[in-house]
Formats: sequence, structure tokens, C-alpha cells
Amino acid sequence: MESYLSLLRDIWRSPTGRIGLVLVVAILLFAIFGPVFSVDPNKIAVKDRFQAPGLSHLLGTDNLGRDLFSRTAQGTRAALIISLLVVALSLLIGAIIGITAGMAGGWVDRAVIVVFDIVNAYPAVILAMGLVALYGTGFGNLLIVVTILFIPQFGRMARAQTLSLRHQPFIDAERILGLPTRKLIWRHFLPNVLGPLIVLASMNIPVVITIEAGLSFLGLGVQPPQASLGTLIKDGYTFLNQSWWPTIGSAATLALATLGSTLFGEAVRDAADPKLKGHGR
Amino acid sequence: MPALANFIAHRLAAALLTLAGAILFLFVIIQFVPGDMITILLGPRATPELRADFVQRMGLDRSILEQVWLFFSRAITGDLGTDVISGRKILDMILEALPNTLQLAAAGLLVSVVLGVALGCIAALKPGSVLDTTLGVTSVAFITTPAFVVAIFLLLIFSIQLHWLPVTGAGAPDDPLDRLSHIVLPATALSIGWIGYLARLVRASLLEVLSEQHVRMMRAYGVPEGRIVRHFALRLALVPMIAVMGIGIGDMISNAVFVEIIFSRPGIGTLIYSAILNRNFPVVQAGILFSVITYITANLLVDLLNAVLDPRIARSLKQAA
Amino acid sequence: MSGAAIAGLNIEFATKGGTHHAVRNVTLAAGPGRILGLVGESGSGKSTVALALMGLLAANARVTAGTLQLGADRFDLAQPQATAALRGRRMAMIFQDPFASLNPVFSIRAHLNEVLTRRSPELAGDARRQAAIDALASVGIDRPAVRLAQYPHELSGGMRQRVAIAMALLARPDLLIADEPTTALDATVEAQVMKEICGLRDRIGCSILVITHSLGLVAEYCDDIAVMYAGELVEQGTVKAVAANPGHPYTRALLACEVTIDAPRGTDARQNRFKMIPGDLPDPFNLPSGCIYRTRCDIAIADCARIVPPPVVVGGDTNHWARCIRVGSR
Repeated sequence: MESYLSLLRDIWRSPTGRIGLVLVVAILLFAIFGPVFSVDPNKIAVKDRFQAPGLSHLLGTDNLGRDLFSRTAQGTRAALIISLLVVALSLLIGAIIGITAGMAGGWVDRAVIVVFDIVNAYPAVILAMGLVALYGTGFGNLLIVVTILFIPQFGRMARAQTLSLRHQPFIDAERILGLPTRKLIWRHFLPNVLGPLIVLASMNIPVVITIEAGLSFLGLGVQPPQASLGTLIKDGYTFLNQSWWPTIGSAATLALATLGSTLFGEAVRDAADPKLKGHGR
Repeated sequence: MPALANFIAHRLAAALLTLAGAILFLFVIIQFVPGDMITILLGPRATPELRADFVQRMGLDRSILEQVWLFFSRAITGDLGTDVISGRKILDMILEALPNTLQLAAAGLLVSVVLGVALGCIAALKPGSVLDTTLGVTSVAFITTPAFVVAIFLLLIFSIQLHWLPVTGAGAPDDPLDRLSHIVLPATALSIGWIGYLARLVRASLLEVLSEQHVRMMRAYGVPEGRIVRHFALRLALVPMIAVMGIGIGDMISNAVFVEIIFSRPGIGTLIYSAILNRNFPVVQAGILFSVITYITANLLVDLLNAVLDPRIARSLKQAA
Repeated sequence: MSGAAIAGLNIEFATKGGTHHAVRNVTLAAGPGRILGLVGESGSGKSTVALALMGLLAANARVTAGTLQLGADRFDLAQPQATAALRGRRMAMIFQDPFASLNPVFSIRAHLNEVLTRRSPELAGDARRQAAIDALASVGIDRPAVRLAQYPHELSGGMRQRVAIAMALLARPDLLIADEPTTALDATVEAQVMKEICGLRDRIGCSILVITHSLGLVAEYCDDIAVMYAGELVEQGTVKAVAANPGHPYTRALLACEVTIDAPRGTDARQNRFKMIPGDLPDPFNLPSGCIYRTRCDIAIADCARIVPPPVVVGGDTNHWARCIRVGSR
């Protein structure tokens, strides 16, 4: 627990980390409490369409008169949930595959690397589009598709960590003392592998948010009436000639979310880097 | 230089193998589609004749190995079939759209490299200055804002509000000036993220190189500072940038899809997208194939450029071999 | 070539803790065609002196006073670009880490050409190429024509240092500064590299200033020795004179610390312990009054705190002086 607190302290110390932390907290609060304190995001009131921000509608209304504040909050919630889920899943699956490849070696290891290379041979969005075209849209499919995109990254890192750990003398010592492989993995490999993976995860969150928003923008991600920042931007884009407001609120929220999580992720990475520690702590 | 030729041969072989793997992957994911494969692939227009024709073409009545072989040979020879909607050969459709996308990507690449390197150099030569700090802050904003958001804002401000630049399309094919005006905004949207990223990278790299002993050595021999920076330091500082570009090209291709759609430019991106909306999978598949080929080729070229610029790279292969 | 002399060199560093007067009143002379070894521990300021001569100090350093006399010309080192025009022409430098001295993406030829274009602009094309090949050959590099086209990573550390020496050769300087030229190399390579450096002296008759912390190196290859401690020069003289009759207690202690291969060894391990000089370097922001070395000196007396010792001739040899008021005492 205290190592997490000291991590937060380190992040607070760097100016960019501070901004990132503030933004991340703000976005989180918006996502969690926004929908609670606002009107029904799906309430259609066509006579109120395209209103500018005002007291009754903090971010204005969209083309169907729906309140943008609540829709944006909902969209942010969806974006955060999806990105956290995707990152968690790809971390887990990637770690399992990576550690297995590292431990097994031989043809298993090579096969895994080849598969990773093939997935990485596709530009991310292109692969996602192809998979969605074949397997259909929807929340579940979106989750699976984006997770597939990120598994190779986590897998490679887990594998690299495993490989370097495998040959360390302390592992040999444990083996000689009779520790079964299962316990070896659980007690030694996993903790050492998880650290860098979590740093990688925090750096990937903004990327996932962007990809999800992009796919939803294309209509290939989250489906209406469920709101995602991407679908909101798309709706706004369609009516760009008539009103700015639908686009601006969601686009700005997306930009802030990615900015905040990027700064936060970088601060986490810098704080976790042992080489940077030691001076003036 | 035999080491370099060796290196080229190895990388070429690796690229071809990756391409083969990618094509195989495409085949594999099609096999696992839930439901009736032919309906999904051909879409709602699947008449019985088309279905029979499809079965025969893809060899669905034959063994898996034969199907793989057919798939591969078709992909390699460029026989991508005929589009059920327009009746045109799919290959022609792709070849018509591809130059637009390549032009956009090239323009984006050019802008990001030129501006990114320039800004990075300026920041490195005056570290701590107002310019440097401003760049540091704005570059983060550039990097993190998603390209399609930038594209929409550019469209909003410069096309719709100010009417400075055209809104849609790629411009008349034979009028280079018109085409140029149509490419400005999309290329800018595409390059913004990269400008920020490259600027930071070049800044850090150049600062590091300038503090190294060989630069001191050149100073000790009286080489003017300008020449040291432009000739000796820059070349070394740009090496990490080239290495990074390979991965970045994949991002650029992905973002090109969004930019094309937002600006209604013809290109591979819009082609794939409209094909998805029309449930026209053969076109989608062809588009994906070409995107992968482009990506792998671009990566290969970047690797080769890297080897030419940094003589240490070809050597590592020689040692390993 | 008529030698190099430095007079009254003072250098200050602006640091977070205040102004650090790192080099105080250093006066040295490297005679024509002679090799002067400048010895001192880490932090004694010896490298700083070298960098000041070349005008390569860091941004927070300032030369507050000092002159360089090179032959018949005098240069005021307190002026910012005083010696800039001399670089690569009348002064040359060899750096410590041979693995970092050459730019990895440029060939050996490119490096040598850079020196040649500045120093011998009249040479062009084939003549220039031949000059480069000759330089490489004369520092003992085999197959010089092949090496010319190679890149630094294809050469060993010793070879890269030879390339640096070849560059110095092509510059034909009056003064060559070698900053710990062999510290990063193993003993056999050290001998080869030092041989080439001395060879430079024979070939072009320059003065050489070798900066090192190794007394052994100085004893083996240098003609004269100058000893620095905490930013001040405490002794100078010919190697023979100083080795036989060290005037300053610090020099004496340094020499006593050397372990020779044939020194008598006691049967009890405690008798064979390394000798050390007790104490620490003085706090740079709180220097002791009077003699800088008195806090660690074994023969310090009360007067040592009052008087800043002037150079005192040792053993009747006017070329050998030590800054100690108790020269000759034990």
C-alpha cells in the first residue's frame, strides 16, 4: 500500500504528472457521477435541438434535443470501461501467453512470436475493421477485437521478462531446492513480470481510448443508442454545418481524456523506473 | 558492401514471410466466421449463381489445403475477383484508389518529418528557452489528440467556417494546384501527432549527441559549431528517428482511413469503409490485403534506410550469421 | 616548436552550492619536445586545466585569469574564444574514452579528412587520401587503406586511440594534450599507445601534456612531472628529480603509496596493507587557510595555516620546486 502512495507522491511531484493526475481524476469523476446528476441522456426533445450551452443543458443539446452533458458523461463512462477492460484482458492473456512462451522455449516460443508478428503486420484500425466486418459489431465484439490488437505487446514484454528471469541464479537455486514450476511462476515470475506490464498498461490506456473512439466514430464500435465518445463525435460531425456544440463537447472530452491518461501513464513509467530514483528522495 | 547486401536479402526474405503469414491469417479468420460463411462474405446480394460461382472460385468443395493454395495464388497474382455491386474487377478498384492514399500518406510523412525535425533541432539548440518550453507543452497536446479529432476541427475551422480550403474530395486529377489545396488539411491532420512526437525525439536525441565525446573531439579540432551540428551531430541524432518511423507508418495508415473518410477523399480507407457498410466483403478483403502489403513494404524500406544511415546495423547481422 | 607555458590559471565554477574556485593559480611549463605528466587524484582539477586551454569548458565554468604562452605568442585565457583559432592547428587533444571519441556513423576517412581540410587545405583528392593513409601507417595501424573506409565499430579500442593520435599527427600541433589516454585500455595496449604518443613528439617535436592519475605511466614515459592537489599545483620538476627527492609531502605520500612488484612483504598480513593518505579532499566551498594540504599533511606546523606556501627550490635544482615551507624536513 505504501509503495502505491509513494508512487502517487512521485507523480504529484512532476509538473506534467500533476496535470495528468488532475485530468484523470476529473474525467473519472465526470464519468462516474456525471450521469447521476444529469437528465436522461436519451430523452428526445426535438424542439430543443442544437442549443448552445446554458443552465439547463450544460453542454448544449444535439440534433434530437438530447442533453449533451449527460450523453458525454455516458460516453466517457463507456470509453473508460471499455479501455480498462481491454487493457486488463490483454494484459492477462498476453502475460499468460508470454510467460508460457518464455518458459517453454523451442517451437512453442517461435510459434507465439510468429503469431504476434503477424498480428502486428496489420495496421491496427485496418485489422479491427476487417474483424468487425466479418464478425459483426456490438459491445462484446468490440472488446474482443481491440483486445486482440493489444495482446502481442503485452505478450512480448511478458516473454522478454520471463526469458531474462529464467536464467537468473536465484531461479536455479529455487529449482534445486525443489520448488515446483507452478509455484515458481506464481511466486517469482508473475510479480516480476507484472510490474513492467502494469506500466505498459497505463501507457496503453490512451491508445485504447483513441481506437475505441475511432471505431465507434465509424459506426463499427459501440452501437446507438448507447453513447460512446466516438458515436457522439460522429453525430456531431454529421450535423457540423448546423451546429458546433455536439462535436465540441465530446471531442474536447476525448482530447482531455487522452491527454490526461498519457501524462499520467508517462508519470507512472518515470516513477517506476528505478534508475531515475535515488537523487534527492 | 557485402554486409549490406546480405542484410537486404535477409530483410527482404523476412518481409515476404511476414506477408505470407498475414495472408494466411486473413484466410484463417474467414474460416471461423459464425453462421453461413457465404452469406456473410457476399452479403445480401448473394444469388444462387453467385454462390455457386463463389464456391467454385474459393474451392469450398475441396480440401482445406487446396483452399489455402487457391487463396494464396489468387492474392499473389492479383486475381481479387469481380465486385458484385459495380461489376468491375476489384483489382482495378484498388489500383484506382491506392494512389490517392499513397499521396496522402506521403504528404503527411513529408510534413511531419520536415516540421518535426526542424522544431526538434531548434529546441535542442536553445534548451530551456521560451521556444523550447512552449514546444514541450504543445507537443504533448499534438501527440495525444486523436488524428480524427484534429481532422474534424481542421475541417470545421478552415473549410466550413473560414472557407479557405475545400471541404471534400481530392481535387481534379490533372490540376496539381487543386489537388494540393485538397491535400493540405488532410495531410496536416495526419501529421500533427507525428510532428509532436518527432520533435520531442529529435530534441532529446540531438541534445544527447551534442554532449558526447566525439562532438567534443570535433570542437577540439576547430570544426565550426554550425558544421558540427548540421553535418556530424544531426546525422547521428536522426538514427533513432528512422528506427521509430517503421511502427509509426502503421499508425499513419490507420489514421489515413479516418482522415479520408472525414474529408471524403477517395482512397483505400473510404473504399474499405463503404464496402463494410455495403456488406461487400470481397472488396474489404482486397483493401486489407493492400494495406498490409503497403505497411510491410514501408517497414522494409525504413529498415533499409536505417541500415544505410547507420553502419552498425548491417554488422549485427553479420556477427549473428 | 618552442614549448608551451601556462601562467596564473584560475578557473571558477558556478554551482548550486556557490562559486567553486576549482583551479587556483596554476603555473606550468611543457618544454619544447618534452612530455609533461600532470598527475593528481580525481577532482584535483587536472582535466579542467586541459579543457580550459582548449576552450572546451562547460557553460558554468569561467576562466577568471591566466595566460598561455605558445612559442612566441601569448594568449589571454580569460577571453572567451582566446584559443579557438588554435584548435586543430597549433593545439590538439586526445580524449580518455577511445570508444566515444569517434562518431559511429562516419568513416575513419571522414574523421581524418576533417582535420586535413582545416590544417592542410592545400592538399586535395589523392594527395589528401595519401596523407591520411600515411598518418594511419605511421601510428602502427595495419592495412591503412582498408581501415580508411571502415567505421569506428570495426576497430578495437587501441586502434581507435591510434586513429585519434593519427588525427593529432595530421594537425601538427605545437602542444598536444592527452587526457588520460590509456585509462580505458589494458596494460599491453597502453604501452603501444604511449609509444605512439611519444613517437609524435619525435616526429613533429611538439610539447605533450599528459594528464593522468597513474604515477607509473609518468615514471615510464614522461620527462617532467607536475603534481596537482585540490586545484593547486604543489610540485613540478623532472621525473628523475622528483622521484628521487620529492619536495612536497603530498608527492612523497603518493610515491609511498605505489606498490612495486618486488617490494618486501612481511609474513604477517597486517604488515602488507596498502598505504593510504588519511583524510579527505577539502570542502571546495570551505578551503583551509594557508596551505591547501595541511589538513592531511604529516609534517604540518602552525605556520602552515598562516602562509600560502610559495614555490621553493628543491635540492638546488632550479627546475624542481615544491610549494611547501618545510621542504627538506621529514
